[in-house]
Amino acid sequence: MYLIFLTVLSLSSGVPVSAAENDIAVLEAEHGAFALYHDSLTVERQHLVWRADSLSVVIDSLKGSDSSSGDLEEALLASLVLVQWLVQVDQRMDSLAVRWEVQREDLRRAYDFDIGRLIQELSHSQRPDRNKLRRLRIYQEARDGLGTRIVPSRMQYAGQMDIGPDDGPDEISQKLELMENIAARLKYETLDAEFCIKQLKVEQRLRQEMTFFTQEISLFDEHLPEGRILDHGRSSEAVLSQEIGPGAAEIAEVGFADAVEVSQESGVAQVDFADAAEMPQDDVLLNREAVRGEHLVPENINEKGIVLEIHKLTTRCRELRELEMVIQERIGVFHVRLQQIVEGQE
Amino acid sequence: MRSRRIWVLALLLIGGSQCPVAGLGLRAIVGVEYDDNPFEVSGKRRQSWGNRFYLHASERLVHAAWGEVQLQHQVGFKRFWKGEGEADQYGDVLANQLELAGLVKLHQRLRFNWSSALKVKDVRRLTSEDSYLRGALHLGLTGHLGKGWAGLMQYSRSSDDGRERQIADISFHRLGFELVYQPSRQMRGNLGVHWRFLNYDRPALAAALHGLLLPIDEEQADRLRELSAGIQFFRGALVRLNYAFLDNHSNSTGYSFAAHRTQVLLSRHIAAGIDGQLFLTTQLRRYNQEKVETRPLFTSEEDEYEQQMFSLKLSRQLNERYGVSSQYRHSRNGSRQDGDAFRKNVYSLALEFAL
Repeated sequence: MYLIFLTVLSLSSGVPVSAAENDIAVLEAEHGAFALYHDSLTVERQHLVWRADSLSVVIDSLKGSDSSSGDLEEALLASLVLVQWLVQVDQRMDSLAVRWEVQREDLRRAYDFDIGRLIQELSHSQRPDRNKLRRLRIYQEARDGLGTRIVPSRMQYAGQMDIGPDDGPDEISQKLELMENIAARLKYETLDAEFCIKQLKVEQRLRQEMTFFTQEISLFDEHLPEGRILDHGRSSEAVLSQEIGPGAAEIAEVGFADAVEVSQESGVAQVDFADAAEMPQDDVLLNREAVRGEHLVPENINEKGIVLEIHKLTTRCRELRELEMVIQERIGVFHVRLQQIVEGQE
Repeated sequence: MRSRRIWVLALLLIGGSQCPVAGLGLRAIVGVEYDDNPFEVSGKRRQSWGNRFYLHASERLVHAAWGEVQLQHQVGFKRFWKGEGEADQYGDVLANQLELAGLVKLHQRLRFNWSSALKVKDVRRLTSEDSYLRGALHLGLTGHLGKGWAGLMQYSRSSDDGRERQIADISFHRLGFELVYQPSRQMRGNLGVHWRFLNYDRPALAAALHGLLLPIDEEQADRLRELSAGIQFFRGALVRLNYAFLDNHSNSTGYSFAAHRTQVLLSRHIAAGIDGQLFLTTQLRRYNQEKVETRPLFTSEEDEYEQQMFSLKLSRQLNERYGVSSQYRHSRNGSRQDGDAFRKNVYSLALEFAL
């Protein structure tokens, strides 16, 4: 019973409620992870810069002194390695900055969506909901904190997608062909990612259904096997009907008997083995009961990994579509330009 | 009164009312079923129609970088339209379970999970099921060893307080270790060993002269060892196979047994939006100590108990919120002796709601 008390206590221990939507929670977690990664890269870069500066001082002193050229070579070599590291860290930081900005944009959209939804819900409700108002305020503050900067990298296109002043019809046609190939590849990649998302959603649904299916069976104990209960022969039909009452006779007829209870009531638990010979020559009584303690609900059916994967692929799909749109727009411009050149020649 | 409340809730679900708590995941099943042996008797059966209601609600209370906390509540209600006896009215089963579970990331490779649950099962006018109150606590530690390997250490503690005289109270401890290999999200294999310590609130029995069993001053205490192996994979269908060998030693004569348990779970999309779930479990349990000289009515066949359960569910989502499902379930459970196990077939049709 004390365990039940502990359970109730832990259930009522007032866990702080953060009612953020799942999407936002996932994105916030990602955002936090990016921030951590950015911090670690910054620290690493600072450390490398400090080491490079120190080494630079050493190299300067070696150049000035008459020490052996071996030391200087070693120092220069170490300096080169440090510079290479620094370049790698800078590349990682650049890449991170782009991904982080894209992620931040997703977070902005998620907040915008939820803020819109909350405003709509609040305007339809007759009484003001304090929780919703509180959440709306939190979301708006978080959204303001993210700023309104547009991602510059998304709408950029490479030099080969521009028409140069010296480009003739041949060059434009070549560039057009290249862009059409890129557009086709992007379309293929988008379709591929969409197919993957569809598969993942099916998998997610099947996992959820399996979990609910087993949880329902488990709640009603429908998965439990039956085992036997034995008791000594004192609890025969006659004893049952006398001690428990008329209702028990019915139970005994179908093989159900409250044997343990009867044994306790009749004080048989105190009987010594020596008394056995004096016991009635009745036999073992059989009963059956569900064997508890079996665990059915499968663990690790969780779909957290899938949610994250779906989210990543959805973002990728969106990026691919945007890129394709940019290229299609450029293709249109090139076609117009080509048309103008052809018409001019005529 | 209680069932009336449940029906009001069901009507609200059908009416499509909005979920009053934002962020709360709700799923409900309301249906009817035909059971050809609702009272699980091995002799003359008495068929009955019945209602079934199931509600699952969950909410993630905390979701942070360090871990998460989730609250889950399940309610189930079954009503058989016939009573066990000719003159009896209805037989009801109401089950309620509240669970609070959490996960804490202690380290990049080390996670601690826990759950505490409270379950109340209330059975009215049915001898085939038991009423009890259960409190349970589960603690687990998962260490990621690298390259898809992980080690799990688990401890569970629960206590069943029988609400009726027919069943004994049980105090339950479980300690287990598992080795898991998960090369990808879609594939998982595990090997485990668990020890269960079950203490019953009933006197242990000892064999005495003249084929008698006598209660002794000690209470029944069982020590069960479980060796298990399982595999789960997704390839078009989600498949989970489990096998376990159970070896139970008891201080009470007649309760030591060895058992083989097999479980198959399958979930896949079939066609035209229809998904199928299949659950199959078999358990063969052989009691090691034969009972002392029994009456001729009881033979050694009673030392073998067998459980078979097969359940097939087909469901179709009609839209984002509503779905229909149909289920067939067959059970055979009890002693292997001829005529001493009950068989039952259940056919059900239900509406499912997700909010």
